Amino acid sequence: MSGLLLGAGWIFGLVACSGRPPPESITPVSDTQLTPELRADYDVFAQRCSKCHSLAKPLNSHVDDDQVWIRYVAKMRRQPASGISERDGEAILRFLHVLVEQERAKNAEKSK
Amino acid sequence: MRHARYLVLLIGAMFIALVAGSGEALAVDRTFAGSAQIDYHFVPTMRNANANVVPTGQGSYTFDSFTIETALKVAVDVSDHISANVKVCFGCHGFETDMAYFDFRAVDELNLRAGRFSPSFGSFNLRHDPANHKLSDKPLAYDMGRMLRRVDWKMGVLPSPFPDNGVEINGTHWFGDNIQLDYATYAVSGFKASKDAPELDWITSRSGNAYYVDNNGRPTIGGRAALTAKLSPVSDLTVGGSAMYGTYDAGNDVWYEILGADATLRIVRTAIRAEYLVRRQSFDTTAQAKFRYLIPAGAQYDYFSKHGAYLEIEQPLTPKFDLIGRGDVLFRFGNVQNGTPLSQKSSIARGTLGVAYAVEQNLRFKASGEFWAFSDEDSRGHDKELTFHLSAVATF
Repeated sequence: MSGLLLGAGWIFGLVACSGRPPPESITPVSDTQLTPELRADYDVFAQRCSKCHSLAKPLNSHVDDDQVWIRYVAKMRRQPASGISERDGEAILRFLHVLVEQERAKNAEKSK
Repeated sequence: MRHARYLVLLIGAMFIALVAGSGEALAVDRTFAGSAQIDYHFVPTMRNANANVVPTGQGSYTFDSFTIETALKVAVDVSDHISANVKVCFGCHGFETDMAYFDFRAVDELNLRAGRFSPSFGSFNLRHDPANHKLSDKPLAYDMGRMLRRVDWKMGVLPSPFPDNGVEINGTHWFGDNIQLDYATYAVSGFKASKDAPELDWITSRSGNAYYVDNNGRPTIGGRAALTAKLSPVSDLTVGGSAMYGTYDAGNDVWYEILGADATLRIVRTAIRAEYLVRRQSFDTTAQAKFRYLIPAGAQYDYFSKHGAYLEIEQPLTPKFDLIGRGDVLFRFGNVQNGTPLSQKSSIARGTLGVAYAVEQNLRFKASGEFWAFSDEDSRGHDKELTFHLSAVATF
């Protein structure tokens, strides 16, 4: 019985510790760019997209075309138990658009 | 014949839906991804532990060495409705085709998958790639051979992944913004073995030596349904059920059925996962002398059952550091063949505590310790072992 209580306490402690938003340091978007609105979109992105795979996949994909993300997020929404509703998909795309702009800027810099 | 007619009708309906719903042509998109994990499994409580050497007596096979799991995947979206996936992996038994299929999606709720794929079963299957789970190894119920005493136990309940040839119809539907329902139903070749085999023959089941042709004319059928509910903007709960049934011998005399139930709760980045699987399998008892326990007079068939379950908690502690705890069990009930250290009621209980550290976004180190407790002693009189994993996994 005491083992069961200890286990329940451990689970409760872990869940209580997790009641903060996902860590900022893993996003390549700088703090100055991370407006409250974008922060909310990033939270949805981090919450939903880390369910089945690491965030490194989308963050390091170097996509510079919004259309690619539109199709890809639609595909991910259809994954079993993705938990990505239509509204979540819109928030995720708003965040990914910032990455697209960053990538375009990098490419423009390279081509100078 | 009637089933064939239904299939033709279904494909016809999908074609009509495709034509009616077709829009602008889509440029072909290709996604190339991959992962590699190298793992050292250290077994300090056993001397000269080696997967390929049998120490004195039986039951001491294990892995005290490096194992590698690598995978390369190409996904091609041919159009809004047709996509193809090919994934090859290299692991303990060389190159395997993990995926080679196309999807023909009429609408989100109706997708036809055909080719070689892992049929939808349970929740771990979705995360089976070592890049997508944070401990080095799989739960015992899904183990593919890196478990201690793997020869005695002959793997877990359902190895993951287990690609097979066949067709699957699946889909997803959202009810509002908070409830998602997924389903899948499939017919695949199924597992193989001779009818008096003590277990499914995993090697024959995955071997290409028979040109991947089924050993009997009867497909294995199965399905899965799962419901995901968003409890809040940062939490969701998924509950699912899966089932599979088929015959495994050439004459379709003996059968297996696998049932599964799973639940995953995510609260912010904390994930709590639980799964239970059971496989019941009949076998021929004509050669009574092969079995340790008495076969009832006149009984031509008997069956055993294998149960596996795990509870896992994954908790990020810092942006780069995750703590993972897992408890899992495996039970086997039923007659056994002579020569195995297993008994009529055998079990394994394992506790794992591990950490995962992200050096960079695409590179992670994993370390874990495992305590194993067996119901049966091995040839050295041991019924407990302690093992450690240290691994690195990279993705692109």
